[in-house]
Amino acid sequence: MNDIVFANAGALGAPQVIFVSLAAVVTLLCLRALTRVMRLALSRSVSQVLDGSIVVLFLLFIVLIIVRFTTIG
Amino acid sequence: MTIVRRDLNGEPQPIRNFLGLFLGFAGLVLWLVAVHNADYLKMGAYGLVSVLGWPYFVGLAFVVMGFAIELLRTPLRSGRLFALVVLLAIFLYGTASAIEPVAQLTDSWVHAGFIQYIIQNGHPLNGYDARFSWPGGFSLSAILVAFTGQANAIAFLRWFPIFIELSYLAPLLVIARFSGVSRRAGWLGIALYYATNWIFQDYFSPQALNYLFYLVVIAAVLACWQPRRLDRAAPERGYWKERVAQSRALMTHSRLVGNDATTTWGSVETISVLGLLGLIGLASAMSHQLTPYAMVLALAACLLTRRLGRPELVLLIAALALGWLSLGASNYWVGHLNVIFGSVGQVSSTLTSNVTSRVSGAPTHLLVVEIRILLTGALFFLAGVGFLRRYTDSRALEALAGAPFLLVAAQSYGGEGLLRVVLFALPFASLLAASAILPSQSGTIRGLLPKVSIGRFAGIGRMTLRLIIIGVVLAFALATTIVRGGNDAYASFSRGELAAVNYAYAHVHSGDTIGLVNYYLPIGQRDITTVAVYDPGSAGSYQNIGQLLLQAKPTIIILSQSEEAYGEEVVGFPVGWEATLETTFVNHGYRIAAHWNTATVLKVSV
Repeated sequence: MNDIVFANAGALGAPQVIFVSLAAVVTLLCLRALTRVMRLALSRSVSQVLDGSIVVLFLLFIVLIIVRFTTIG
Repeated sequence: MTIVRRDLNGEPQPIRNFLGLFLGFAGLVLWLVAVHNADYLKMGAYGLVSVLGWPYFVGLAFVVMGFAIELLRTPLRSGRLFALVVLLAIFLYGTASAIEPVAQLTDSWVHAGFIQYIIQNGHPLNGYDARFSWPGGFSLSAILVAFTGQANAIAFLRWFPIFIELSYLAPLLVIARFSGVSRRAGWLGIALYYATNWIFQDYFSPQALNYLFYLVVIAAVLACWQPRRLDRAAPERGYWKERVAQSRALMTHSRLVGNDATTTWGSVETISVLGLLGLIGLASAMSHQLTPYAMVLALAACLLTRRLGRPELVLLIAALALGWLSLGASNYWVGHLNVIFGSVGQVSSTLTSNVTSRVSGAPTHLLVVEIRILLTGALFFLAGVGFLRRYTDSRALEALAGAPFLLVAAQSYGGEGLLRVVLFALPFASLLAASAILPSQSGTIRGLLPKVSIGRFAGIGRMTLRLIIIGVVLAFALATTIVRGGNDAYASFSRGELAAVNYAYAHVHSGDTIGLVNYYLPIGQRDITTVAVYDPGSAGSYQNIGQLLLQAKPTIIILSQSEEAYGEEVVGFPVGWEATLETTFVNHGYRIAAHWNTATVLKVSV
């Protein structure tokens, strides 16, 4: 699998890759909203990991979309 | 005899208490008379307004007067104001549907064709048209058509504008209620929205549905979150220093994570609403190219102005919109990515393609276009005055009115971007414009203009205010009547034209082509994969159009009144250009197969 992905950088723009990153971003965003609205007590470190993951995954999602645009657009 | 009515306290209520309602009722009667007397076939170059008699204008004035009377009454009676706003909407958005024999705009018929395809095949047609890359609205309509037992969506086309405009009223009421303006300014803002929305995007289309989504999302956000009270800077620092200090807070971490907004809603309610808004965002991402991005900008504006407590919503809708663009709509952009990104940052050329290129055509058309520009400019000028006059706790309205303009920097949207941007800003600009007349007098953010105190001249002041409201709303409503129906000479269709199109569909075979001299016919509602429709587009002269059509050799050519009016009004062709073309076609192997007062069908001779 790794060989297939890294054999061609353009493969990062495959629909499956983008869909998984989108699903990850959406899931984490929903989780964050749920914890805040329900006032669930999260430790500071867990909150930071959650926020950091959202930011990183969202940026990754954008990068993957740019890869997709440049490879097949 | 004096007609009086006694209220619960036994106090006499003179008939003038019902004057607003009476004027509204009289307006409705006059509207019915106007619609009954209007003769569609006598429509001239100015479009709809050319067939409206005096009862329409007197009736409209009655409704506006009734609204102004009720608006300044104490106590405010929401039921009556609601009824008068509905009447105003019927005047401005229902008149064309009532007078014109078939639905307006070719696009609405084309959309019916898309829906027909989904009904027959169970899926959208990839690669056929850009709009099919965002098929959510069409799929929903196909379900609706099947659910109602209709054979196609044509039955929904004609009255759709008034139906969807009245659907907008619910979120508009919520926005007005929770936007921080007074109740009276809220009602006036709604009336101004209806009186100035000349942008014909409420025809049967995904964008009309998505505009409802857009309003609902913003209404829910404004209703859920209120601005947390901020520590005010010391008064001695002066107004501008205080404003600069508050503006700096825009980009603080607290603001960006939504901590500066507060809600009184419970956790379950909030999470339920957030879930629904996420679903609406998903539906919007799949059904329209532009609206989800306008939604993201509007939500970001709410976040920065302390009216959104959950920044996740902004990111969620942005991710869904980008996700659909990259995955679901790849048929649209593969091979021609410049369609999406070609106009990024080219604000000047976007404005040129959106405004300057539209100011052309015959003097009648030019007048209509110029009134549109003036009308929009006047509303935004009034909104600017409202911004200067009002006191408030949050500048959310200003941000919501300004945020859509960022879209112009990103997309020209086929020369329609500015129109759409104005539409997205319109509800908030209308509320700001209402604040120019009825500004809020309290709030932590002070107005920039001094308060006007009427004092002992309250009686005269109230009458003056009433006259100002009547003047402003009536002037906008009259201008909108003229410009909204200003394209109807070619954008609306007669029964003869529809009959000609039906005749053409009935007499072509699979693989044949129907030729048009331009786009303006009720066509495209069926057989989208088997019967091609060809129009030469902007070919320069009508002689070129004839040549291109003869080269394309369509089986049938339809010539009609609407096509001719478009050529004369917008392109500047001479009167009778279509008759000349008809002669050309007849001399080159076509014969007249069928004829109506407003349309002729030419068929190629075997």
